[in-house]
Amino acid sequence: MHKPKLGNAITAAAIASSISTNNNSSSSKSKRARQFSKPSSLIGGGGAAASESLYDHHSSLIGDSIDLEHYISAMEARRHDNEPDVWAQLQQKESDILLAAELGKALLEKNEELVKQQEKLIEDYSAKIEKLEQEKHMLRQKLSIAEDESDQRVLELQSDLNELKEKLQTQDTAIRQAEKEKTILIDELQHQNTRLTEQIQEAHATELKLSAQIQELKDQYHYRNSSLQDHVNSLESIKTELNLTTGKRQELERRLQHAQDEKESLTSSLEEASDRIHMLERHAREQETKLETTLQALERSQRENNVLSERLGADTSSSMPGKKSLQFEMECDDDDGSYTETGKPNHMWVEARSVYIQLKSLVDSLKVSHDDDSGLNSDISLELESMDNTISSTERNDGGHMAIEFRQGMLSSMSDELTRLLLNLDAGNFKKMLDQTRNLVLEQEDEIKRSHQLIQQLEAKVTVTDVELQNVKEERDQARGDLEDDTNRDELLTKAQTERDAANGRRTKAEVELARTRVELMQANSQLLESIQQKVELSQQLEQWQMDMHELIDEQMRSKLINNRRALPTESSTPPPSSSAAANLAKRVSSYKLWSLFQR
Amino acid sequence: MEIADTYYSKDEYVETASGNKVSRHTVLCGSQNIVLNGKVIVQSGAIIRGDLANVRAGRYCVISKDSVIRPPYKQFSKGIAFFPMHIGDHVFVGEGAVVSAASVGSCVYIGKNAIIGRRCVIKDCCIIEDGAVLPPETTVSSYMRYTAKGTIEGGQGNPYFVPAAMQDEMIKYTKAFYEHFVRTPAPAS
Repeated sequence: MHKPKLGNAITAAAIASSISTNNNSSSSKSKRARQFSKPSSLIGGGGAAASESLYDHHSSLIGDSIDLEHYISAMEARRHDNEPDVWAQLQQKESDILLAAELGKALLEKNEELVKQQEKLIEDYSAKIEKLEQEKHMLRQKLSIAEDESDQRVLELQSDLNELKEKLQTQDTAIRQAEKEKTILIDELQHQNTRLTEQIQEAHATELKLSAQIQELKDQYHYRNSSLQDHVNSLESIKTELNLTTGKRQELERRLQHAQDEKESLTSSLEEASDRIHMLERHAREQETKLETTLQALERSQRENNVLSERLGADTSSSMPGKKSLQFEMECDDDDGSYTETGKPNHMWVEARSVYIQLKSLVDSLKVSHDDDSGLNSDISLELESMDNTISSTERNDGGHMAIEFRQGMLSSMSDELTRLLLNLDAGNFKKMLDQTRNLVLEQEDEIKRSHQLIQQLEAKVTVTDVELQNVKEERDQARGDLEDDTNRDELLTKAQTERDAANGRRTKAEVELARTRVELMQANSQLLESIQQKVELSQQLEQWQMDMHELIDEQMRSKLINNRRALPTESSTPPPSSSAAANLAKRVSSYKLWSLFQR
Repeated sequence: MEIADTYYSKDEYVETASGNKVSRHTVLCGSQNIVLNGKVIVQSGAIIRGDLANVRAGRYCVISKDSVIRPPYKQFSKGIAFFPMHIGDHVFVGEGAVVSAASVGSCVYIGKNAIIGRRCVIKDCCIIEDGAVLPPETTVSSYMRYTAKGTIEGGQGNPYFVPAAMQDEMIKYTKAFYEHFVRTPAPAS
């Protein structure tokens, strides 16, 4: 075959490609396009067999295509073969063109057919699409409806759920309450159970006790039944004991009476002693008042003394030409006798002499009579007055007693003798009397105590015997009752029980009374002891007051003598100490007289 | 203010006729040269050197415990001579004081542990404070106070270091002291 020209081949290929592009409805067409393109590519090489192999079973198009391809191949072959014939070529080309035009028409017709087919297809597909869309719409509606329904269902289900949940909760709470009530009920029942078990136990215990009591009562009943004979024998023995106890009781009652009489006598003596104590107390009070008055007088006199001494001192200091040295003063105080310095009788000497005379008389009287019970107030006052008046009476007595010699030391010796006598006599007597009274009081107290003890013992014995008597009587009555009554054991049992209860009650009462009597006894004892102690204290106080009185009187006398000494003109010749000794003596005498007063 | 009673035991003190109360525990040297005018209290431990020279004390003087009354001396070229000592009335000499003055006036208060140097002259109504030390031959005029520091206070411009009623006060004080210086009462039997 001839090779067509390149230009012609290219235009044929272009037309084929445009046809292929217009007819893109099927793949076969595309294939064809490829097929056509392939042949175009195969322009360089010639492979008509290859191109023919690629034809489709499409009837008109394929035939046209085959024709076309046949033409193209023929064209190509021609070109290569015949170039110089231009008229041939022109004819060929005209034929080619005519063919091409025919081809084109055919192609256009095919195109129109294809277009129609396409439109039909389009119509079909659009109808299908419409259907599909309708169906889709329908389905969407259904979907929406279904969704609504589902939502409604969901809502309903949720509401149902909520209701059910609430019901569940209520039921749970109800269940819990029920459980709580259950537990409470269980606890209560348990408590009740325990209580009931305890009650049961207690009842069991009481039952046991009662059974034991019943056993005991039965035993007693058997015992009682079996011991009738023993009762009779015991009755007789009890009778004899009764007689003995009655005799003892009578004796004890007699003793009681004796003891009571003694007690009365002792109480009377106690009263008398208390009266004496009262009297002594009154004496003591009187002495106290006297003491106070004397103290006041003492103070007044001391003050006056001080004032006077100051005046004296001032006067003497101004008037004294020569002052005494300390040594001189000390020696003056220590010296006792400086009588020999002056031979003239002065006031002090006269006073001392009178005192000596009085003392001598006293000593003589004492020697004569040992019983110097000068406890009378009048005696004391007289003597005191006599002592007070010594100063004034010295002048009067001077004439009568000038005969008596008065030497140094006689006063002191006389005073010593007096004191010795007094001590020996009065003090001894007073001491004896004191001791005697003390012993009496002690003995009385001892007797009182003994009698009290006796009374207590007797009373205890009496009570004991009374109780024994009563018991014995009761037993006797019981035995008599038992002897008489042989039948009705049960009544006996009850009687025995009642008697036992009564006896217990009586016993308790007796114990209570015993305790009360003991308490009363203790109280009485304590009161007695207190009274005795008071008595002892009072006696001690009395003694103290007496001693105080002694001292006071001593001081009083001393002060009086000092006052008297100071009142007189001071001279160192006379023995002032002698007068002080005399004053002491006088004080002692008066004090002993006072002492004897108290002893009464 | 009332002075409390001072008690002394009967055995310890000697009471003379003129009212002097002298303790037995004192050291009285040369008691023949000691003149106590009356109501003078010499308490225990006091030392009065009457052996050196005359010692004259007025009324209502109080010489307290452990004090020393010593007459003053003067040294001469040829030796030492002791001079008499005059103490006035109502003089109070405190405990432990050493008085070597030539003269002590009336109504003078000498405090505790004071040291009065030799030949001092203490006029009436003076106060020598506790612990004061007077150098020898000082003169303390009336109504002056000699302090422990060593100064004399009083006098012109300062009249109030010694109270104006010093005289009355000292009289009252010494009298009250004497009156309240009493014997211990005998115990109640």
